Amino acid sequence: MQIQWPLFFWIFRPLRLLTLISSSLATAYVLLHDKPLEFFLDMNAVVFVISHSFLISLLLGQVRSESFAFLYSQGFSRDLLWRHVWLATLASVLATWVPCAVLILTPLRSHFQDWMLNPWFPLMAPTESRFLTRSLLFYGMLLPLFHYEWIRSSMPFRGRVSGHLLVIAYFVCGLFLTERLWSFSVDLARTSMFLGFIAISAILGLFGYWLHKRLEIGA
Amino acid sequence: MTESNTVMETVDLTRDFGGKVVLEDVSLTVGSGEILALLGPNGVGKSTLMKLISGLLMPSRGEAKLWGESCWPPSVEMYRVACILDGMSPPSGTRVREIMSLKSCVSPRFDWKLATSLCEQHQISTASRWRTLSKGQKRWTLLVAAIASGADLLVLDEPVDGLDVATRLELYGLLREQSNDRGVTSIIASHIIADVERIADDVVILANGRVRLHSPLEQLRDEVFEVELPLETDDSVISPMAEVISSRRASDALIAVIRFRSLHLAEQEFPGEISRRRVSLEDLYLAYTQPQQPQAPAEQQGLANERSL
Repeated sequence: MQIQWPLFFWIFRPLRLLTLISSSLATAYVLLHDKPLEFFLDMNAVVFVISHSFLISLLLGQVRSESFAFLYSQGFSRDLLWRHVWLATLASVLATWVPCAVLILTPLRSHFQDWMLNPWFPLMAPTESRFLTRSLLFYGMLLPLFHYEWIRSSMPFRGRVSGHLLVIAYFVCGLFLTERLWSFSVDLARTSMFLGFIAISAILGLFGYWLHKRLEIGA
Repeated sequence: MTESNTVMETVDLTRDFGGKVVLEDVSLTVGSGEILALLGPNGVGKSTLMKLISGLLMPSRGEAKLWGESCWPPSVEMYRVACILDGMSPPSGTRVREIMSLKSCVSPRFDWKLATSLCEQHQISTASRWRTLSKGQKRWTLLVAAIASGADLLVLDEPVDGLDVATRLELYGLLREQSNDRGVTSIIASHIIADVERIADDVVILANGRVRLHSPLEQLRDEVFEVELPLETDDSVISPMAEVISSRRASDALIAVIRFRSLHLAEQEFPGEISRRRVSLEDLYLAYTQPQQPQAPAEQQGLANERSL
């Protein structure tokens, strides 16, 4: 894939402040959190990923603004623009999580916590790499959903709120099923639920791409 | 105009917003190297037409094509089109250099030397931020980016908004140069009709979302006149030789803006009787777009058919 750097920096521009804040918060949290990091059991991390994903897609989904309209009127193909929207998304996620990964994997975090006389470390440190993979998996589930939501809400036809309703339904179902299945500890059911949500996200990602190709600018 | 020479074509192009028809059955053709002026009152659909041509809006009906390819969904190489459209501007913190860089990464023919020199001539540094530029400088920056991009079609909505007279003339010179040297086609929407008269090859007047006039400007100069006809002139006499665009009754004559179909026939019909004078594009524009003044009943009877001519 050919990267057009001026285009990338243009699209990334609204994410700069968000990325700086999210990166600082995540790094500080990973370094200072005194309990072993377990992604889905740590609600702070879950809320952080949801908020970060939501804000990324919100900032990149302002296609009704003058500056986005300007970008879309410059002659770039819709495919190229969509690829660079995702590239900017990826850049924001990586800029947030690569420092965390370095802290966990080097293992600077483990040494720091050990130095702080935390009894869990370095004993629990090897299990924390899962925190990274699970958080990134969660981003992978949420970002197509949120990108779809904002593209959908920018479409001129009726039912533009359906994107927002879909997101609410997704989260209500997710919370309900998670609560039920976790309490029963059924591995097969958990895996099925995960796969189901990943499939939904993938489908919404494709729909988002399809809608973006038909997105009207300046309507 | 040959088919291969056609740059832009619209066929029955229609667009509505929430049921309100803004543009209706617009059929136009623009050839390579032409400068087409789009005229019309505010809200008549000029900007909508430009967005449809630029592949930013979807037609409700009909089709717009660039070089034979449909504009929606955008399938042509859109880098061949440079647009300056209403309500679209870069973020306030953007530098002029970044705007040029953005354009250069979509346009392989972008001429950095031309862009830099045109900016410098107007005291615009490429390091300047967008918010620090004056209205005219902002407009000039966008125009420079469009012209330096090497695009084959320029779609310019109110391009001279905020520009002083000298800069306007410089722009027209550049557009004419691009047209003559590279065959660049320009579609310009403007309210400054005197300027349009200076630069345009073809003129389109839109009224109520429809094309009221599409004609080469040169042809209009030869064919459209304000005439004074004998008061008792019957419309059945006028219609074979001319289209009445607007008319009013003076005390002793019928004064009409008409477009002659046959000047020869008119001179035969009214030997020595027609007093005619050329009309400016501004007068013609007003004749096409202004609603006719209400007439007294007796006058309305005589003129009823003229509107339908």
